[in-house]
Amino acid sequence: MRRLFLAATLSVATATPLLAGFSKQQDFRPATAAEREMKGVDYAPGASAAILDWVEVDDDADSFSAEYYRVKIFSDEGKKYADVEVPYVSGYPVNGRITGVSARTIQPDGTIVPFDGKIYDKVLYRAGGIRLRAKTFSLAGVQSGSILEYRYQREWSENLLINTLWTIQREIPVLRAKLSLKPYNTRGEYSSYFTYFNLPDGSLPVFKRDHYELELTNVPVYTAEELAPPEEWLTSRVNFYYTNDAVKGDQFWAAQTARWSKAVDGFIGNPGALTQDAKAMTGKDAMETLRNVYAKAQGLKNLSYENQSTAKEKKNAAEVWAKGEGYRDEIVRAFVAMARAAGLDASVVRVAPRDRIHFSKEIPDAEQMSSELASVTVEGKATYLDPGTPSAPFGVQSWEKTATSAYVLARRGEPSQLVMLQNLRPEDARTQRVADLRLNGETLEGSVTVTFHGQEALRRRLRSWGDDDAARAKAFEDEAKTWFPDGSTVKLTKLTGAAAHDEPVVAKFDVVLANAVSSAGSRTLVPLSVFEATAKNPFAPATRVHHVYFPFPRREEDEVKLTLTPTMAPAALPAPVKLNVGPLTYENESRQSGNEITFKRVMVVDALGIDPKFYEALRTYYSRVTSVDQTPLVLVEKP
Amino acid sequence: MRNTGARLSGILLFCCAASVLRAAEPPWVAALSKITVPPQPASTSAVVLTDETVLSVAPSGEVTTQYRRAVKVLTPAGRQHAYGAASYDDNTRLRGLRGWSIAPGGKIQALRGRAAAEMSAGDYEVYTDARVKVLDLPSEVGGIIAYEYELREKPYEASTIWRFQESIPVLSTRLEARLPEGWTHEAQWIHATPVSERAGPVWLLTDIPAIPDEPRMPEAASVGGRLGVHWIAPGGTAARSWKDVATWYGGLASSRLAATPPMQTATRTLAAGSDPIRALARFAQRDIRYVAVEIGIGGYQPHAAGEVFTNRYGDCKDKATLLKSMLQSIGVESYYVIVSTTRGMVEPAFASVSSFNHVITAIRISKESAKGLHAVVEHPKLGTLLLFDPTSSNTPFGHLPSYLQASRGLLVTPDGGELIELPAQKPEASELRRVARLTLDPDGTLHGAIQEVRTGGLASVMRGALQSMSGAERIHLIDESLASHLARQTASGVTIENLDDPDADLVIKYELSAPGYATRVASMILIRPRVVGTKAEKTIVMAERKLDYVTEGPSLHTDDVEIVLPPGMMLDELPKPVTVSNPMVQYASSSAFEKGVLRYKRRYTMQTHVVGLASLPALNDAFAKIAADERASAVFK
Repeated sequence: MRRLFLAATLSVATATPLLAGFSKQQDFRPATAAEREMKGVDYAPGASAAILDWVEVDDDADSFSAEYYRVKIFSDEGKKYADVEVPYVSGYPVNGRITGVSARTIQPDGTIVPFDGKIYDKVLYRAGGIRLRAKTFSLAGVQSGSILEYRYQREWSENLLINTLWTIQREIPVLRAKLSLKPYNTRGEYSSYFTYFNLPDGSLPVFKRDHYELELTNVPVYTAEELAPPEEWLTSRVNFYYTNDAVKGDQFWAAQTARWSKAVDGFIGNPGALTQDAKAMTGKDAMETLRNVYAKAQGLKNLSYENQSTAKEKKNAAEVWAKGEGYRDEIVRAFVAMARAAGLDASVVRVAPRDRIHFSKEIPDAEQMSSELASVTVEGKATYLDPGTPSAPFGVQSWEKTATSAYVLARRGEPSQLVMLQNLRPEDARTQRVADLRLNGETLEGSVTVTFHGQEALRRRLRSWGDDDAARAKAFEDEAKTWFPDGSTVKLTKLTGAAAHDEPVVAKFDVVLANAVSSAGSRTLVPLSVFEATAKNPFAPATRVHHVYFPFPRREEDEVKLTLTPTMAPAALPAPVKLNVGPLTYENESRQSGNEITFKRVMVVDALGIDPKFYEALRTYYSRVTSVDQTPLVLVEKP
Repeated sequence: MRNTGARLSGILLFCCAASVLRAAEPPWVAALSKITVPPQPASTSAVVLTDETVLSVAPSGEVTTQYRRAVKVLTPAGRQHAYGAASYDDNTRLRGLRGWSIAPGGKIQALRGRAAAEMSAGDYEVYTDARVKVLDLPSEVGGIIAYEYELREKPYEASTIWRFQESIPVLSTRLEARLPEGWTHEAQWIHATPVSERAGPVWLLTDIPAIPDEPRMPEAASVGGRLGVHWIAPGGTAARSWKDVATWYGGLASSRLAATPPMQTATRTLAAGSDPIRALARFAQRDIRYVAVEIGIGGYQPHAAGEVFTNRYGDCKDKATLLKSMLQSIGVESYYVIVSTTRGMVEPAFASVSSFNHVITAIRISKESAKGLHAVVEHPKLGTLLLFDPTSSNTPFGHLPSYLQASRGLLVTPDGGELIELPAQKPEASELRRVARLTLDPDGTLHGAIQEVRTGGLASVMRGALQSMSGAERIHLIDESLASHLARQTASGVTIENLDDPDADLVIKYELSAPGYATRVASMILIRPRVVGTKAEKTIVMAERKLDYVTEGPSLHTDDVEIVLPPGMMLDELPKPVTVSNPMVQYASSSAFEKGVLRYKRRYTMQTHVVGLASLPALNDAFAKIAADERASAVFK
């Protein structure tokens, strides 16, 4: 499949004539006995269909691409693959079109049902200069056991270079993929790059005479899993793209960072222009000055988080400060400019956010580094700051900008430095939940105070950014309701820190927990770990394909004070529990004082990724935690 | 069948470059800033300031619709209402779409139609000519958006359904019709108190509250206030009746019924067995793939039966047409039944084809052959009719999908047709029978075999979920489901029987292992006899509840659990038996311990599709008792 993406417009139209056509491997052919008898794919049990053969021939020299698919249907569910939609960009400058569509159905007995139906031309999206359409058609006579064959060509303007994306993994298994690309000969004017992600060992595109070839067999289905790395990290795909200059691969990042540095220097301009403003932010020492400048930057209106902002991009840092607003990277750069004007050693840092990609220096794609931070060195120590993220506390970056690669952009043509940004510590993302409850018949009633620190506070502030008080309150109430049994009443009574950037977020609730108390004959069972008593093991499936991926380390501290009725007493207090698996730890303890029971629980996750080979240990750990959290306090009537 | 009312659902609003209009805004837009919004509930995110439709009907029946609307944004969440949208198709001419954004300070920004994004309005068709243009209008809290457009079309029926109640309050809304000389009209209010019309006719409504947004509520479109109006040309006898609608549809579809020779051959082959009706129904249901292609009148008119047979695909009306044609070939009468997949959309007092979005089949059968079939109605003239939905690929023969039960449909017969009641099926038609034979080890691990048998609608729903999954995903689904009941568990040896056979019971079997299932507290051992499965539904918050409650439909669930305990365990206390009985729900559970085996049995029956507002406290009470029973433990020593 092609990614219709305008990479570059050549200044001179190519003189190459259009030579579109299908290759021999894209010709329709009878089904073999083995194909007709196929009932499924061993490595993908339960698959409703499989791509037996996918042959794609891309020719950038002649501006066309030809695709052939051969799909075996195993069940009624798989019949949906007989509905085909081929998107294309129809408007200027791509002027794409789909031609040469042909299709047929091979019945399980080998008879052929030719496709002679209508091919429809559907508007997917049309606005301004964008014209996205699709050719759609549906194959006839499809039944379980059928084999579908179809092919088509995609053509586009001769004077365009279009990037290629081969999405190898599909929602059904691909038994054979044969892909080829004949690049355009830029005659040294531009460079081109191949990038590969998660290809099987030994499978790489091979250059033959004038084109690249890649052949793959038995490509598995991509399996989505909870708490897995971003899908883009995991799926097999190949990109081929052209660049705007002739820089070679091994010089790519040096050239790219030089471009970024130049752009940053140009935006920051002469720090002298901000000197007067910077004076007003000067503190008793460099660190206080830095905090003052950061607080001012956080006070700028962040247009990237505004709804439908149509404000123009700013020309330079001075304009950002003068107008009191900017988009996220403009604010980072304006902050660095002001810090420099205040005499601080500040730099812009280009970051690869890990919620999207896993950075590889070997991949010459500038899009990997799509975010910016600031680095300020005070007394020889670098502090990374995130002024481009609204409400980010001083010294706290949004999690995707931690534990990832970044370039600290140098000034005036110096080489930029590749660094690894530090991971968060569990203490940097701490949640404290305190409940003060009393047993009232079949319910627990009282108050809950939750304090979110650092990263956890930032997440909550960003979640409700731009909301009014009512919507923000509802978001906190909705979150709290997920901790308690169905039917519980949760009312937010006070919320602080939700609009600040340098203090914890504190939410106070009045709660009535219904459906929490249960019985064992005449005895009463009460949960002690009230915040987690209804939680289920996040790793319920017994098998795992991908790494387990926690976005950031975190620490939960719960304290529950439970006041019993005077007539009841615990049969016994649960024994303290300590559990751990590597960097994951859990402990709890219960104490009694009169008719008050106090339960404390601390759970720490100090890891990002866990290899699937440790999955069973991790699953067992979480199932024990779940089991312990569900262990009730047994109450009996006092004699 | 095309459902024009749903065209705007699910449409993504894309930003696009604004094409700013320089002409002065019209007076109605300039006047919007002067409208005062009365105090609203805190949850109100936006209000409709004005919504105005003017219909100009030509003697030819062509209708020109001039539409204007303005919304004031009250909270950040209200920005989701800040867009202008116009639906049209190849038979409709859309003109003059333009919009305005009025900032809280009064500054007006105008956008012309060229700034609108155009998209296909369909989300399930391979192709439809229905499209929508969307103007994404800049908005901020306190600001106003407004837009207008004109549509010209020749509708298929001379009637209008004016839906004036929305998800946000409407301060003022107006429908005006400009009729040719001699034309008259008849109006019908639905879910609304009638309001006097003014000369024109003109209907003006003010201060219409929002349709509440409540969990498990009926579809908003079915409970919102609306006005249906028939436009009657001179010489027209009366307002359109259901018979008129049925006659129109019958005429539209009748030309599509001719059977081709290959069809006739196939019909003979399929019908050669002992149950030809079932065989043909199954062919239309399972062997004809659902594919919708709707262009112009094709939104209502089926494709020819022969074409559907050759292609082996078609939409709901195509499948019904093919089945009707094949049944006709073997001398079995059948009829179209036009229905809505949203219960409550069809108002008996107002006949209109636009109330419907789906077509099924009524098959004339003998009384004897109706035995064991659930979707059966007795018609005074036609006798016993079996209702069958060939589009619902997982609904067993003899059943109706849950969303069509306890609803209404238009039976299309050779002499016209009539509105009929679609039956609600009995709970016994949709069962979940769970049997668990388990053993508790001395270390507290529970293990053994669990079998779940689903029939009818419950089987249909589970089939739908499982069929779209890979084998690994199906096992994950079972693991996730078990994790809702068990802190530690593993399911192994999962087998699923009859997944692709809707007429057979769906059987899921697996071996369960749950370490630490028995909880030791001091000298006691707690064992929850229920083990898995939940019947209690979420508690309904009654404080501000205004609407009825929609259940999963009538069904019968039974659990039969046996746990063999380690020798020497002594019973201390069993959970008390629980009985719940009201017109909606019946529930009975009991535990017993005998000869080292802990037994738990329960039976849960949901009787109805919809529970009225007045009965919700009783339903809450029932769910609370069931939930308490599900949490209860037996105590051993």
